[in-house]
Amino acid sequence: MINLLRSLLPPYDPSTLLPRVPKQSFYGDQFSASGVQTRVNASTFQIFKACPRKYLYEVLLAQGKPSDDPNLRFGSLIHQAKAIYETNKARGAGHDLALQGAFRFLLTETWDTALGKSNFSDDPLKNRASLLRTFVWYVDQYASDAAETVVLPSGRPAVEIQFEFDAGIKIAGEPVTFVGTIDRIVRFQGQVYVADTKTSSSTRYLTARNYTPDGQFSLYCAAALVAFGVETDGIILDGIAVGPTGTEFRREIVPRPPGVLEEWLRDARVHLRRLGEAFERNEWPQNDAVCGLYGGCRFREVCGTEPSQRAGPLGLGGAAAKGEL
Amino acid sequence: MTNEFPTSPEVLAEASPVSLAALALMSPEEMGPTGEMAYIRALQELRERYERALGAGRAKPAKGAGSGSGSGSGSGARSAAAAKVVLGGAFGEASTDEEGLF
Repeated sequence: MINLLRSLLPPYDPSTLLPRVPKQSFYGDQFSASGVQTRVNASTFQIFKACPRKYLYEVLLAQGKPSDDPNLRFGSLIHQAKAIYETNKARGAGHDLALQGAFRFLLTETWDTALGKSNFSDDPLKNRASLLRTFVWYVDQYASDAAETVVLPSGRPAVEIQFEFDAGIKIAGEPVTFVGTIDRIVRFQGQVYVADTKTSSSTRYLTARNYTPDGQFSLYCAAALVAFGVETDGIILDGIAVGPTGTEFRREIVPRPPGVLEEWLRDARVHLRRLGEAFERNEWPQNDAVCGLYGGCRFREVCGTEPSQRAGPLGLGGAAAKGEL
Repeated sequence: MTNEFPTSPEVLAEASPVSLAALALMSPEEMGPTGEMAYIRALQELRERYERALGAGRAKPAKGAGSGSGSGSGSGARSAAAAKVVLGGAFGEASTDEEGLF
């Protein structure tokens, strides 16, 4: 029994279980009229927990601007293409037709018509050719997948389901909700799991160990229960390792015991209180203990610049260019 | 870090008769529906060759392991990594450094 999570469950009513649909923007729709983030997704929450200053630069000052990170874009496009493939299949298309539709989406998304060339990075690993190769191989890899999509209590298949649920805390007097999109909820070998896909350059990063603990996966398991009424046994991690000449796949099961989820939620509320305090006091301290992790934060150069001269490196102009950042 | 990806000439060679490198530089309009399917087939063929290069001596995975071939005449020589389903209680190999995961 997941008591703390169950306390967030609304009375069962299919219409209330249908989540409000977040707009397909990065962060722009997650802020209240007063500029406070009251709809929190896993990625912005992770950024704040890691470094409030990075949150200021990445989330608050760059609101709505999509990241140009090829790794992020690669993963995002794979997710979107998968959703198109699954939707096509659900509408009755066969494998080939469903694949072709999703493939065409990738071709179009990665092409700049005005410039007449690819708009994707020329990174040796994450580029247009490797994206197309990876997607086709991925779909073929799982064409006869033993994991079956769960049907939600509302009757809807649990594919690309957007969620929003009350986090049980307020910021600046406004209730905070967790938002996000779950790839799929599946039944696999008699258990129920949230399914998620991750891409990397090596399968050795795509392990249960690397995602234990992990805020995104814990949030998704909590959301499956609170927003959709499905108690899961953890996450199926479908790892995609993109190499220079090929793509490898690795599936792992990442457990999330009920007690661990409860602990995650308690801790999340503490972090959300701190997020509220940061907004109320306009305090965004650097966490310099993490600057060198994950190959180095991309704002290191900014943080090494005089505070009065950071607007340029941050790509800011106008009012934001004045004063210290 | 070990290189998990084969770099043999067989794998690096483009899947004939369609040039993958040329296709990757084409606009969606230039490619058209026929080109799209040719590209998809070429990629599927490339995968078969890639797996053959990887797969010598590797066992065909069980279907319940979540892998499967949807690519026509697939070789069935899925890699061990592709076939493996690891239960999180017994962690996979530890990583000694980190990178962004998306």
